[in-house]
Amino acid sequence: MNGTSTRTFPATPGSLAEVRDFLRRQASAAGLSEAATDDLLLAVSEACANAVLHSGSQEFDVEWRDGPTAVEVAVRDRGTFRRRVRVTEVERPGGFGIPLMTALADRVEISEGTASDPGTRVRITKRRS
Amino acid sequence: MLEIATTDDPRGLRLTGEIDLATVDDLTAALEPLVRAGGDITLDLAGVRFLGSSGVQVLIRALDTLDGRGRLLLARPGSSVRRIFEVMGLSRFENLEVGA
Repeated sequence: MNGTSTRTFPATPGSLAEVRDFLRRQASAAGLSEAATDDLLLAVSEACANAVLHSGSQEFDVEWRDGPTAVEVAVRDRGTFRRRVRVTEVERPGGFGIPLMTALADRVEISEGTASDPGTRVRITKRRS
Repeated sequence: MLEIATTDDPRGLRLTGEIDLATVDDLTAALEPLVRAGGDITLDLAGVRFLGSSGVQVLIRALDTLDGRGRLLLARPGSSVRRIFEVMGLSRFENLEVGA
């Protein structure tokens, strides 16, 4: 059984709690363990915080996809990844965002939005066990 | 949503809700006078459902500012809060204690 669901949120700090409510519902329906759900919520929240703080987008999408062995959550904004800025500046005031995501998830893939092709996508994969 | 209540015994804050970008400034403001005064500060985290890296950074700044003038005691963290403490390596701070 595969479940897929996508929601769009305004790129504001107040959306982060709504994103987590959405993920908690999806995780519960998919029967994801509490530990894996905790890690996924933390990792995806960091990705969404980056979209809110740094993308310059008005909104971002969160796409949930669960499969038999893993859950995949993609966060997609409409912005430009600030690759020309030092990483410490990109993430301020987060600073820990990307290292945290990689520590908590089994796989993190970032495709960077550019000026000619905007939209940064962070895809976070968490195994069920 | 984050509710913050001041506690006298132990001296500190009781936090209920979620600590993220939307609420972290409230935590910073509530902690500031306690940190400035110095002494041990207990944060009751039993009601904290989520704590993101922005919240942990506030705790780290408080530890740096306390710098020998007191400890930060983090009481009753749930599984998710324990997890981010572990991943962010908070055990390296000598003036931090994570309670049961």
